[in-house]
Amino acid sequence: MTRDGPDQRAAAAALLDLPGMTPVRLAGLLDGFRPALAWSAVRAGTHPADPDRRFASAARGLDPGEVGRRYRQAGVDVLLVDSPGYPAALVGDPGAPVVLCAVGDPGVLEARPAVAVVGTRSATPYGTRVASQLGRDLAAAGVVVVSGLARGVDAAAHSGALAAGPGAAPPVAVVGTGADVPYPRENRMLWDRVARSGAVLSEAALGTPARPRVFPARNRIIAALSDVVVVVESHRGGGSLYTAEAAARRAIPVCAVPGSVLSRASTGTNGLLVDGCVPVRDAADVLTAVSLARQGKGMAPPAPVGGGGGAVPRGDRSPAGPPPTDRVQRSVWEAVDDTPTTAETVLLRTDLSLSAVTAASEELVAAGLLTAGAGWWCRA
Amino acid sequence: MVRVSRARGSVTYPARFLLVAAMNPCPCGDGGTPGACRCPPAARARYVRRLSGPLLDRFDLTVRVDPPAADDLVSPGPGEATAAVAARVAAARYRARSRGVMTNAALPASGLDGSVPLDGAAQDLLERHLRSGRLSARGLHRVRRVARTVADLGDTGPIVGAPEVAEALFLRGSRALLLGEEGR
Repeated sequence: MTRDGPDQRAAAAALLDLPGMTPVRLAGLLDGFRPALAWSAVRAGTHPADPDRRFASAARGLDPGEVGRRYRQAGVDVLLVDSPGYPAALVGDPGAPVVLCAVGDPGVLEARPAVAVVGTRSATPYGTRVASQLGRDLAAAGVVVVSGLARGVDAAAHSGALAAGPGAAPPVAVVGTGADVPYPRENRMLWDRVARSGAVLSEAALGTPARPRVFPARNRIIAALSDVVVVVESHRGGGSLYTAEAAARRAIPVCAVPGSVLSRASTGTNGLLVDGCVPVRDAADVLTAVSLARQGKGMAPPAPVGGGGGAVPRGDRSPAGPPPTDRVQRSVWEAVDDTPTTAETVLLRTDLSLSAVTAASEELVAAGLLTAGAGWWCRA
Repeated sequence: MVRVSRARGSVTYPARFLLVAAMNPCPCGDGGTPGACRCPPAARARYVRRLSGPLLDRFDLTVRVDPPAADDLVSPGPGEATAAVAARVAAARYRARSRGVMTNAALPASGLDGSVPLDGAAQDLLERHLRSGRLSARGLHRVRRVARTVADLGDTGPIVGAPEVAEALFLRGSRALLLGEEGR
C-alpha cells in the first residue's frame, strides 16, 4: 500500500516519540489525519487537535527519517491501525492503539485463537504451576497465549507456552514499557524468546521506562487481542482484574482458576467466580470456553491437534504421586496444604517434634511430594 | 575478644556475646509467605538487601514469627511452663559442659567429628545440602553444633541422627527466609 509507506510509518514513530505523547493524544492527532500530514501540521503548529501547540517546538527538533531508522535498527515494526500487519482483533476496538510497536511477527495472531493468561506478580507456587501448565497445554493445542511478561503468573504462562515445543502456537506479549526495554530485568531472556518465537507488542515509544500507569493501560490490549481471558491468581484489587474488566466491557468471556479461600493470592480470582465468571481447571476447560466464544462470533473453533478427538490432555489434577507410606511422613504430608503452610501450623496439626517434622519434610521434598520454601512447605 | 589498637598501644577487651536480632520480612510486614504480601517485589528485594549474605550466614537460628490468630490472643491455650523449659536447657548445658565448653557454639571445629558424631543418614543429609549449594562451608560446622544442641535438648544420646540435623538445617534457613526465595 502506498498510503502507508516508510514515510507514514516514520512519521507515526516520530509522533509517538514526542515528549509528553500519550496514546489518547496520539489518537487525537491521527483522527482524520495520515501520520505524515499530522506530522507536518503538528510541526507547523496548525493541527486542530493540538491547539496549544504543545508539540510544535519538540517536533521541529525531530527528523522523522532519523526516528524511523532508529526504530528499524532496534528491530521494531511500527504498525498503523488501518495498515497491513496490524492485529485484526484490534481493528474496530474502541480502545485500540492507533500506533503499535512490534518486535517479532504479530501475524501469528491471525487464523489462530488467542487466550490471555494473566495474574498476580506475587504468585504462589500453585499459581505459577497452573499458569505454566495452562500455557504449555494451550500452546500445544494451537492457541496463542497472550500475556504481559510481568513477574509471577505472566512469566510462568509465557515460559509454559515456549516449553510446548515445535509445532505449538507461539506466544504474544503486550508490554507496558517500550518494546526495547525488557522489564522486569530478570525476564530479559524470556522476553527475547517470546519476541523470536512470537511477538512483543507495545504502544509506548522506544525507550519508555516502566511507570505504574502504563501497566493497567496495556491490559486492555491484552484483553482485546484474546478470545478468552483466564485469570490464574489475583489479589483483591490486583492489576489483572483490570484485564478482566476490560474483557467484560468487550463481551470477551473471563475465566478464573479457583483457589483456596484461605489464600490471599486467590481472593481476586475467587471473587470473579462469585461474580459469575467461568471456573477453569485446565486447558481443556479453557478450550471449551474458546469454542463457545468463537462460535458466538461465527468463527472456527480451535482445531484439535495431535491425533483425533480429545487430543487435549486433561490437566493432572491428582497429587504428584501416591501419598507416602511412612507413618510420620504421611502425617506431615497430610498436615501440609496446597498453599504455603508454615512449620508452626504443621507442628500444631501433627503434634510431632520439630526434628521429626523437618526430617520427614526433607524426605518428602527429595521425593518430589512437597515444595520447601523459607519456613514453609506446600504440596508439590 | 575485641582488640583496640592506637598509637600508644593496644587494649584487649573480653567479648563473648549472643546476637539476637529481629526484622520484618518486607515493608508491609506480611511477607514471608508467598501471596500474603502486597509489597512490590522490587521494594521487598531492596528491603532485605540491606543485610549482606555473609552477615546472614552467621545467624544459626532463624525463627519466623507469624502474627498470632485473634483466638490465641483472646483465650490463649496452655503453653509449656517456663520452669520445664529452663530445666531442659540446664540439662542440655550440663551435657555441653561435659565436653569442656560452656555452650556447644564454642566447640572447636577440629574436634567436631569426636564431639558431634553423625550417623549415616545424618551424613547423607548434610552432603545433599552441601552439594546443592544450600549450605556453606561455614554453615556446615555451625549446623553440626546446632544439631548437637538439638540432640542435647532432646536427650537423644551421643550419636547425632538425621532428625537433629534436619532441624538444625531448618533453623538455619535464614537467607532464604529473608529473601522469600521460591520453593526448591
